[in-house]
Amino acid sequence: MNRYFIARMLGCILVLSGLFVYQGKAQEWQKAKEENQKQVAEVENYNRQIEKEQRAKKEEALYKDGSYEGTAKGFGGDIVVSVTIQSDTITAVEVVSAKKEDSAYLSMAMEMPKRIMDAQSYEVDTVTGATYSSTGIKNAVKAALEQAK
Amino acid sequence: MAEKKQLTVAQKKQRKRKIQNLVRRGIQLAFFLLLPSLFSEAFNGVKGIFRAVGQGEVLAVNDFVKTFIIICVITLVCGRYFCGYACAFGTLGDAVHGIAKWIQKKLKVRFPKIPEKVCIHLQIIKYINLLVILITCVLGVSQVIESNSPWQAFSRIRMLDFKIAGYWIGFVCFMLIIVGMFFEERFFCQFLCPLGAIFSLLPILPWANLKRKEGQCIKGCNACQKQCPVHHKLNGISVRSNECIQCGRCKLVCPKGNISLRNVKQEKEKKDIA
Repeated sequence: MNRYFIARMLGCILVLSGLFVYQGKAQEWQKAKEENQKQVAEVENYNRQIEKEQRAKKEEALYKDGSYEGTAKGFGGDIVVSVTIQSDTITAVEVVSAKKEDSAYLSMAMEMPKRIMDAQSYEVDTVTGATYSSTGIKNAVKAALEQAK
Repeated sequence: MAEKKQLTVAQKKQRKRKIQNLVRRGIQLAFFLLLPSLFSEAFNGVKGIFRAVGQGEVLAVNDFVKTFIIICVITLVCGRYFCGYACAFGTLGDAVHGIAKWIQKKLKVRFPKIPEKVCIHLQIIKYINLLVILITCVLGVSQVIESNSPWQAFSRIRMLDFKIAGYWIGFVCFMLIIVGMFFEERFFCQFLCPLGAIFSLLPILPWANLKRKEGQCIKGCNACQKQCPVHHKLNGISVRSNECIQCGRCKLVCPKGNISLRNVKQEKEKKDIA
């Protein structure tokens, strides 16, 4: 038997089992973190609700209702998104066109609309590994919200 | 009469070589045009895993990781065909070096070459390169390398984006690599490629390695070694057997057809029995 092959095999098994053990640990951490986030989100939601009610009392809205389009630069070219707003809530974020984005990177950046809707703000973390495309989406949403003011 | 017949055999062989070479170039061109970012996607998968480890996140199997796993499995079973046939950076290197070869032929000059022994030592750089990149990923500072990497410059140039203001370091590195590719075949693949380093460390199944029946060689013939773009010697089991990028040029050039995937030992045993 080829001793170099055996050495590489052992090395490979070592790395894979290391990652396997890590994955188990990371899932535990993730669970704890999610619990924590849930509580934080509940508080934030409550606060937002109160803010909204107060604004409704004063009869002033932060954003006008409707659909707005915004454009920003991604990796290869412009990304156009459409943001729908209903009584100060972002109800939909859609990527209308992103012709010059690399498809694999763009499909990773497609996580951004969900993040933005969850946070109800364009100020969210970008997707690691697809920084340019997700920054493009983020800035396009920002541009769309500017129009809604 | 006998001479004429031999000539036709030789011609036939040469034609076969030409066709096989053309087929390889065709496959390379097709991959270059259709899937030019395979190598960066696959390596992005690796970086993603190490970034996640650095941040204590759960490992996710995204498209990049899938691409990486598929290429790894193919490499494990069949050898580094990805490097020889599919990688856009390898194809770019082959094209640039092809131009250098053509100039040398036309002008009847020889450009200086890096001595083989030095090359073999320089091939270690890619492991250091891989290690450094993975460490930056774990530490969460990989963005520094990423925005200045020659791969990034390559994908931007592919997108016909020539505004080099933000990433001129990557652009300069890319240009230096092109110059290296011009003088030394597979310059990047041999010395710098972090993905190639991973493939070299994989336990590629021994039957995917090309072997040479040394006993049957013409004495003093080193055609296969001279042709090899990665300076592989094909003399039995060696640490560097995983450097082979399965370009198949040794197989084409061997005058005796001595190089194949078949196990040399088995062949010997068969002979002994006979």
